[in-house]
Amino acid sequence: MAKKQVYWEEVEVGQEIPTLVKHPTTIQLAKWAGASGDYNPIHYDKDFAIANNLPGPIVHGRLTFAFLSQLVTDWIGEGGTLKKIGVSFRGMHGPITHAGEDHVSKGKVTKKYIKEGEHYVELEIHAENAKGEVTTPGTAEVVLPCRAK
Amino acid sequence: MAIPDEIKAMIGKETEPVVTAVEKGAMVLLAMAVDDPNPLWQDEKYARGTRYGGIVAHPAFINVFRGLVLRKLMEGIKLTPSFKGVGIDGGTEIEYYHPIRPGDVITSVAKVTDIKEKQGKLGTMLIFTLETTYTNQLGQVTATATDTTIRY
Repeated sequence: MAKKQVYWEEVEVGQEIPTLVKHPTTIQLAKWAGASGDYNPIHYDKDFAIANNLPGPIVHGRLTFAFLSQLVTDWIGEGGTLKKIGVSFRGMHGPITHAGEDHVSKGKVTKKYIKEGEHYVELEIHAENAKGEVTTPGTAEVVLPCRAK
Repeated sequence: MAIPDEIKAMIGKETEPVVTAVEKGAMVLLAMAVDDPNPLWQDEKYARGTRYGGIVAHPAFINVFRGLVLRKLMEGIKLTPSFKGVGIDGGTEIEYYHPIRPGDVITSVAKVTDIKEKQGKLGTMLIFTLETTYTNQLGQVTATATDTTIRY
């Protein structure tokens, strides 16, 4: 995955970063449950989810967090460093079936500055479900490499 | 309903440390569960040539420890009969200081900093704010997190 490295000088406030489209299925939710240790049945047991007022299995908030992390780390590349990421889980992705549905992560640059010699960029990020609703707004702070240095 | 005293008494208290050894396989499986192909999380040969000198954990890997420490914290809570014991994840903010590597031993300690009560359509909800510190075997703070977790 030798992608082109993004440098701090090239970044502009207001710029959108490349969208990340994922496609979670019930298999992916089961994999995430196992890998993360979150075995809440609302994420893989349809009957249980419905009995708990949900339309069916829904994506783990922390998997959405993971997708939003990927959105940012894909953009900053190996030369960039993720410093901080914060998200609020306000809506849901689902009902998730074996066929799955699209899960879209987007981000936009809100700020760039130098602090203690490091080149920072701040981003507004969010996830959208298959209906196009913003489920998970958040922010991220990264340090990017600098050409001048 | 007021917040029961025994729950209110949790504010400011720290959990016992939860100590977890990090296995490379667990790190790789998590990256695979995210379906994130970034070789930095899983390809040792590639990662050796980077400034990290080896694979590092996906940013979401910290959630493994968060799950363990949260369980420990909530074990101590005797929810009153009106509670169903349902948990909802409200959100998180994580700050990263040092990458997690295979073989690290992470000590997680969480503290409840706030508990709020809210009447929702599902009844009385308690909203917990937690601050967790994750420290590695070198005594370096790997990450800190502020999490919101809801119980009703």
